[in-house]
Amino acid sequence: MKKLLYIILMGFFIIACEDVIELETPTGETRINIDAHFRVFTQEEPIRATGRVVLTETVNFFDDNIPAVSNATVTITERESGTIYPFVEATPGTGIYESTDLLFLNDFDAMFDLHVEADGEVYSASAQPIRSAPILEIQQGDLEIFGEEDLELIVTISDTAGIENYYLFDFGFNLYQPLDDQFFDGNEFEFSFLYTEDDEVNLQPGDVVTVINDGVDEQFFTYMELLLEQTDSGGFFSSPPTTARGNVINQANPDAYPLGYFRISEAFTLNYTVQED
Amino acid sequence: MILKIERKNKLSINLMVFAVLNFSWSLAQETYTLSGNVIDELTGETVLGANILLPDLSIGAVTNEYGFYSITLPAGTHKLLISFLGYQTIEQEITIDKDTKLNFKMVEESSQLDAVIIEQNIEKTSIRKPEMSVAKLSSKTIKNIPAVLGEPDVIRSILLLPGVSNAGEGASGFNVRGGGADQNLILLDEAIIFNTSHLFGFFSVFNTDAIKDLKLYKGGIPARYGGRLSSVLDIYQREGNNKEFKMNGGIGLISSKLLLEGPIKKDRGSFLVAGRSSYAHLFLQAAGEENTASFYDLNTKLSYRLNENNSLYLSGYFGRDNFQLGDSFVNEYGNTVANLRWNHLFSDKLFSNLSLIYSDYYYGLNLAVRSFEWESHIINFNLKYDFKHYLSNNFKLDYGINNIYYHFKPGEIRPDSEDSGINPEEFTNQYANEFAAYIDAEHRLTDKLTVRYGLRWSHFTRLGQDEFRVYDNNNPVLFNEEFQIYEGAEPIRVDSFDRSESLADFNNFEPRVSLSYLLNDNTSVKASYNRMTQYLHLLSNTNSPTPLDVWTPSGPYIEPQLLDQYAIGFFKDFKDGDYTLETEVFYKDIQNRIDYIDGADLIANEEIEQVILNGEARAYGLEVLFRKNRGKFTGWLSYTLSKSEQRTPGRNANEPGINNGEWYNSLWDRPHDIAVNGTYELNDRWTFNGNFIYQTGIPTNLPIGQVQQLGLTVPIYGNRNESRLTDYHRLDLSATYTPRKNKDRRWQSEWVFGFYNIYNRMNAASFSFEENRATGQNEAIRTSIFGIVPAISYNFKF
Repeated sequence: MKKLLYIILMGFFIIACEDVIELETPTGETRINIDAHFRVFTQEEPIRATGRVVLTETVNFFDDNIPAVSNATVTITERESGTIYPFVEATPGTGIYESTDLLFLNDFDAMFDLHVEADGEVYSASAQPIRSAPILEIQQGDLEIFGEEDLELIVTISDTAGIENYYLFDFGFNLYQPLDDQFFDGNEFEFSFLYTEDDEVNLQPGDVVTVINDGVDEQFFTYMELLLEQTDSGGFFSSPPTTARGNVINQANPDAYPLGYFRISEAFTLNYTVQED
Repeated sequence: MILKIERKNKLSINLMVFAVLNFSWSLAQETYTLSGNVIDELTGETVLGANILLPDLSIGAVTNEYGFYSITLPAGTHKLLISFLGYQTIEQEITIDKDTKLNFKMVEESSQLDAVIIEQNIEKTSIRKPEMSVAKLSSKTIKNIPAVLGEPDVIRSILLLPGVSNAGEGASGFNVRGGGADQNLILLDEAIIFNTSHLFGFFSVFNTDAIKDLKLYKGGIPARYGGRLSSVLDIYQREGNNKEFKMNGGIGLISSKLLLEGPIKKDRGSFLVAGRSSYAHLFLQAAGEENTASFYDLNTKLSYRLNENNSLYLSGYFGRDNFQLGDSFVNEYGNTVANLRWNHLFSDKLFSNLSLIYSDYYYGLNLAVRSFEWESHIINFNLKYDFKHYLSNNFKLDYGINNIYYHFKPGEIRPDSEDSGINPEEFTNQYANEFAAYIDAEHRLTDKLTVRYGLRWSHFTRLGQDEFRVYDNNNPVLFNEEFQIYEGAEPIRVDSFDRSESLADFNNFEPRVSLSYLLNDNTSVKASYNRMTQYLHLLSNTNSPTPLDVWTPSGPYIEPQLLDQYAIGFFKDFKDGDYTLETEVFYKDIQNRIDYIDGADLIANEEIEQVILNGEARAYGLEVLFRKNRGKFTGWLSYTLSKSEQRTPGRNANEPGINNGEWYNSLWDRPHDIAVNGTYELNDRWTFNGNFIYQTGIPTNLPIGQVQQLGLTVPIYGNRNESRLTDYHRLDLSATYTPRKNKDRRWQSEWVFGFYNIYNRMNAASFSFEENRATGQNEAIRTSIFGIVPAISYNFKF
């Protein structure tokens, strides 16, 4: 909610003027970045699981090229059985490590350990799949906050009572909305999401958008809120930015800590066809 | 009454005082007390800070904030001089053979509307008073300073003084000597004001038309003030004219204002009502714009003099800001203050004031995109009883008590419609009581050395509440060593306490000392030390405070903030006081300054203790103020060189704290800060004013790299606040035109034309870093708030 309010506050600065400037930024120590997000669509027939492990290195903010980390050893192990699922870099040089069958992740009682060996360092993380809530309905609204281009989707979900639930909604186009059920525990809850001009999405009637609801835990929720804050950071009402540390660690050499996250979410999805405004 | 010695006196008179004070005045003979009030002949309002001087005896006194003075005289016939800036000096002989009450009526030198009285800028600190780190502005000076959008502004005016800055345009509040914006005690007719800003800091909540006088203490804070660390901004409202009905007002581009005043009973009682309202939003709405921002406020005051020894004042303030994004987001906030005061003279040497104050700071939000309404309040009842005891001309005592009862309603959330999925919920109310007792003496030890010393004892009790969360080891914040992050602990249980119980108690003794030593008639050195305690904390994790920020009381998990400040200064008058130089250096050290764990969400967070870490802060600097006090051209140059830092170390060896426990710049740290303000009176009709400001840019953070997560390009950051925004500077100019035909008629008017930021400097308010979604390129984006802003306003009075 914080993020949303700050965006709204920024909206008041109608008189404020924004321009792109040339600026030199420093370059910190190079670190590995591990992007390992997995989804299990439990309600689909057949059950489907998606995700991959992407390894890259940090570079200067204005660098156009983000170097991939190749030749790494990547595995996920189911802790109890000790079964090891290897991930391979299908196209060498991309830093993208995949596995042909991810359905082993559809075990909500299991604990999975990610293991990455690259350039002599060992990185590890563990995750348990987190339950989500189905998207009941998507409607189109006529709310406009930032301009006429705004497109409002009203999403209804059904929250599970008695549990602190955290969700990450994916509205496509790399647009995300984290949500926690603090104020609507156990209810059917509807909320609005706006596609705005700044999002450069330019949805037209007839276009289909896919909304996905991932179940996440509190740690990831906080991490994601930080990430989203950083993606538009330094703004007027923003908090002092810091590097978002994920859940991947370098046990042997803590100073060479990695960035990034490994998580497994139950996911629900619903398509929506954009209507005439 | 030591502290309220005002320094508006004319220099010549000042010098006379110095000359005279070199005599010994303890020629023992029968003495009597001369006391009374100084009032304005035309309006009947009391005059604060007027000088009552007996040049032959080398003694003098100054009226207090209620216009009262008391002075001890030997029997006989004496010459009296009563003077005050902008008023004609009264010269009178009196014969005293018993305790005598004498009121003086002063006449303004010019009764023209806001005509610039040449000496009005003499608001310098008197060379010999043990009062330092104090800045004073009259409402006339404030009105002359060119303001953004043409509305004179208290907060923007004090920003031109050394040691006072803010976090930039559009930032609420102000920072004094490297302190936080929440560390200023802001008093309006003795009532505490929590939020000083309209429209996110573009305007302050004080209507300059209704203000008589203001004083800013940056250090050497007298013992009668407490509860905030960094400064006291003490503002007094006018009482209103008790002779005849008057009206004045102004019409500006953004807002307009109207003030009505007049007698309830001639010479005894008066009323004052002043209102302001912005109306730019009406035009916006008419133009089909759904997103609007507006504010209004109302100042009222009733004054009544019951008899010679008793006066009553009832004052009120009500202000609201309203922001609206169509119907989807409505935000309203503001202060409500009611205040009843009773001045009573126990004797001609003992003045007292009893204040009963009620204040409610309200903040409300209606967020249709999330289907809820939100409301929060800070309510407090404040009782103050202050005494000023004029024991002798060399020894004066201030003492009193103060009790504040707080009721915090941190938030109540309600579904905004029947089909909203929101569960109604009220956050646990919190209660606290703050009591203080103080005594403060101003003691003239020798002709050259005057000392003020005092002690304040403050006691804060966090009272019992429902749903008090208890944690293992009393520790609500855990450090996750595996992921190297801080996270909230789970409460082990939730207790309920009766309101009469105490959850936490804090006692603090706050010594205050300041002294002034006269090197010669024109030069003095001063030194001061003060300790302050602050029991309330503003939860703010952004570059500048926002109306969304909430206050929280100290308690079992949050310690009160403590400050020690040391300052020394050197003060000199040149050319009979045509010029004055004030320099000071200060050092301050603050314990228990809270900071927040990474990713802390402060909004609508009931478990705030789970995101707070305890730290410290320090600030030090040099301030120089050079003024030209007289002539057609008056003004000042102020320069501040300072540093303000903060540190939050880990609680044990395994924790990194914030920024690895190293010192980092506070968000409002500005090493260099220069302000120049000048007024030139060309003739009866035209007056020009300008100010120029140059400041180091505030700290910011530049990314040290980027990563990709979930398809997002995310900048990553290193240590905190290591980079800076580009330097800030701008020039403002204004001209005031008073039509000649004003002279002999009742209706008087003036035009004010101005430009804010005349060379249209695009000062950075922030840098942000993001991927341009259209091009895929990463960009640095500069936000600037104001380019050149023209303003025109019309003021009238009749």
